[in-house]
Amino acid sequence: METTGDPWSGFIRRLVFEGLTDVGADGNIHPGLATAWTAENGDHRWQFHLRQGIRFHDGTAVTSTAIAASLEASCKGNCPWTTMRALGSSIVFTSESPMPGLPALLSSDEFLIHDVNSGKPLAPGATSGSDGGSGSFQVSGVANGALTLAANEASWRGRPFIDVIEVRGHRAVSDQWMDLAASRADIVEVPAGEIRQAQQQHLAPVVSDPVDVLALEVSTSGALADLNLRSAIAWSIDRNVLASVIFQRQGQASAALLPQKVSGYAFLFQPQRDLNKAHELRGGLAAQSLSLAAPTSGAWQLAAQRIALNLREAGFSVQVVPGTATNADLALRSFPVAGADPAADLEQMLRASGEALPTIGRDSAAVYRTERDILDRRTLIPLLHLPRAYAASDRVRDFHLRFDGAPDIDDISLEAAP
Amino acid sequence: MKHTGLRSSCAKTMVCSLAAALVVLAAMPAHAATSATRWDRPASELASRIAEALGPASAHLEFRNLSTIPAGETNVIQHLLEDDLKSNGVTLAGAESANAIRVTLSKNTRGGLWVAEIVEGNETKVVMEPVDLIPATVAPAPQKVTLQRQVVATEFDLSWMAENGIQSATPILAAAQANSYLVVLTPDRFAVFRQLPEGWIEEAVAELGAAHARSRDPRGVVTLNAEVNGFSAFTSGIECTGTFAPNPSPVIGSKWTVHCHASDDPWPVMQTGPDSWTRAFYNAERDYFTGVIAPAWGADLPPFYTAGYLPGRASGPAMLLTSVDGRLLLAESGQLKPVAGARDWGSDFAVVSAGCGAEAQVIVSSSGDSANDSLRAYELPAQEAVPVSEPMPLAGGVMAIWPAPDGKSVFAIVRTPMQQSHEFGYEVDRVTESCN
Repeated sequence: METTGDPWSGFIRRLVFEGLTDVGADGNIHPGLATAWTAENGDHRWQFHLRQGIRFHDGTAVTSTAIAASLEASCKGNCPWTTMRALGSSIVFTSESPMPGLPALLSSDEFLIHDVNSGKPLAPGATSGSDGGSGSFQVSGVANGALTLAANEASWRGRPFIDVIEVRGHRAVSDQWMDLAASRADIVEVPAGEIRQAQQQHLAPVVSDPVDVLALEVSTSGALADLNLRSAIAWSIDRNVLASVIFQRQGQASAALLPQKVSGYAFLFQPQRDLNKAHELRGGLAAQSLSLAAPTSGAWQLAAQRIALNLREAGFSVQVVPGTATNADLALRSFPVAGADPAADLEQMLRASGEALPTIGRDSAAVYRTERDILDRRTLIPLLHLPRAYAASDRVRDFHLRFDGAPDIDDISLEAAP
Repeated sequence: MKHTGLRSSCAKTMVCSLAAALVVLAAMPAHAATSATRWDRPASELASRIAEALGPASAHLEFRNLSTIPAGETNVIQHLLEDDLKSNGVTLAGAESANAIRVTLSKNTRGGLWVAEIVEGNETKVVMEPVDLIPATVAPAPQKVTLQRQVVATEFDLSWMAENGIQSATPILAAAQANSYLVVLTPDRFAVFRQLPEGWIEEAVAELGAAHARSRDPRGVVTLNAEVNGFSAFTSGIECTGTFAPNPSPVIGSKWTVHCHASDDPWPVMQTGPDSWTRAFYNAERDYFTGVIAPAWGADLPPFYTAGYLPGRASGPAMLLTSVDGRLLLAESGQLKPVAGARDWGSDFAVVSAGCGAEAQVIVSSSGDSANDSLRAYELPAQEAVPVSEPMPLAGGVMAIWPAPDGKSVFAIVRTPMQQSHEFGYEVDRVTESCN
């Protein structure tokens, strides 16, 4: 398997670590290390009952104490709950404000459970130490930028069909595709902007529903403290061109955070550009030159350049800077859509963006009101909803993507060599 | 404000109501009447919300469908909504009206969502109504066979499972029942239960042991074993037997002896006679049968998930199997033949013979939504599967099916969502065929 990023990132970590809960193939929350959970006192208190007999990869028992320590280490004082403690074979959370989305939140990457007392086998030069996980694969080696994972024979989910996975990181997409063609790789990435190209090259990519929200984060400091200026930016951007030209019609232009499939109401947020309105809102205010941070790779950079062009047409002065730049006025970011619960997805997006977290009601109308309130602040400007895609070799059986667009590695198998 | 009855302004008088009902019934085809009933509540609720937001005013109504509701039914919904709006004091006007109501029939991951945008000048209000998108009910055509379901036991009827409570929903891999005894195989245990008036009581149990490797999609089989006067069970790398020693003495009592041992022996996959079985080697790492069977069948078989014996075909007995690549195949006269008409089939089936027409029927799980599975009977007069019963809905997803010892029914293990938790439970169902 190959990836453009770090081999130890994204869905790969979910093969090694598990959460108290998990997002199933249907997008709904399913039991993980917790088998059941109950809410009391209007969602202010939650108790998660733990699966018994589970062990970390080094054989250490996964106890409630170990899980509490992991959760504490995950959020380090910035936790979404007020208190959290081990109680027998359960974990109890309490909060001053209701936490209706806690089961979904605990399925996120941020709260995957690890043994805080394990070694660090992924540190450069490390030759020993457990990976600290309990998932269906365990780290068996790290060398030359490649991560090797071996099937966990004792996984409570059952042993995966694949014996060993080698994940080679930092591989350019073109190299990945060549390796797939030359049978040197079995699963490779197909970025959203290159799905059409992959189809033309007969890679037969498997494409998810839209699960990534491409959005512009807008600072509220300096000139952009003015709501009218932020609104002018929102009206300046031509999302349809981004979707049709940069992303080859593989993305959906949208001014909503939640995709239509998840919320059912995304059409209420109209993505049209209105340059006159942008000029009117800017009102001749001459903001100083704005910086727009974006990753330097492929379609992201093209999208950033196109957005900068749109903003210049509306009278803004914009310079595109690398995504690593700090204190940029604008930043192009992607927010994943993890599951089928609109309120939980919105909550996780807001948490990832650092927005103030309101308590979100569970019904569609309440979620819509919250999303509308957030977007009216113009600190997050949704642009596109993008799918994820991967291509697999012919010997990979039962290859499909999960609800979040990640390959379902646990359930694939490889055809035996002839 | 909720509306539960007739929908016109004359609904307050019985005469007018009856007249309206007769007119509607006469004008609407049967399926439209069904649709009206189905959409009545959400249309009424949405109209109430719109009226509450708009007040007693006139507005132009726009209507569109982004959901999977068929076009024929959207007309019904629009008419219902118009009637409900009128009865809530909203006057529908032409496009020249200063107010507009834009209704969108949408859907999300939870089901249907009807959205109304109420536009008054520069102000737009939004109201929504969640809707169950249950398929329209169609009167079933009479079928040759009817399936009937009886819940033999749920895991919570079985005492040691109940002790674990909701913290450990133990999957049931296989089960079989004979007389008042129920044999249950789980990934960890092989147990015999006896039915008493107060419920199922555990008679004997064997632990499968820590050395038994868990597979990802564990499977198992339990069959009657006349040789030991009891049952045999197989799961990954393990074979168990349960032997019954009858004793008429009330002092000593009858006794079950159960034990398990490591075994790579082939599993019994289909019964070809009263005491004869075809056995198949199981790949425990991949959770399928390798295609190697004993005795041989005259054709090289591919790896498969399920096999069944079809007697009485024109060219002699045949073996039906679902291969791991998803095909349904007939091994017949030394050849492998694909079977058509099996697009709706899941990977589990069992062959039964209830004496309804053809010599055998195949009871099959559906390939659709695993949370709302169903079983259906088919016959294979040639190389095509023909349904002979209506789908029989189950309480959850089918995990496995086997023929029962009587040959006329099947045991199904059904994974059911549990109330008050997010875990699943398991139940053993017995599904019996009867002839219509």
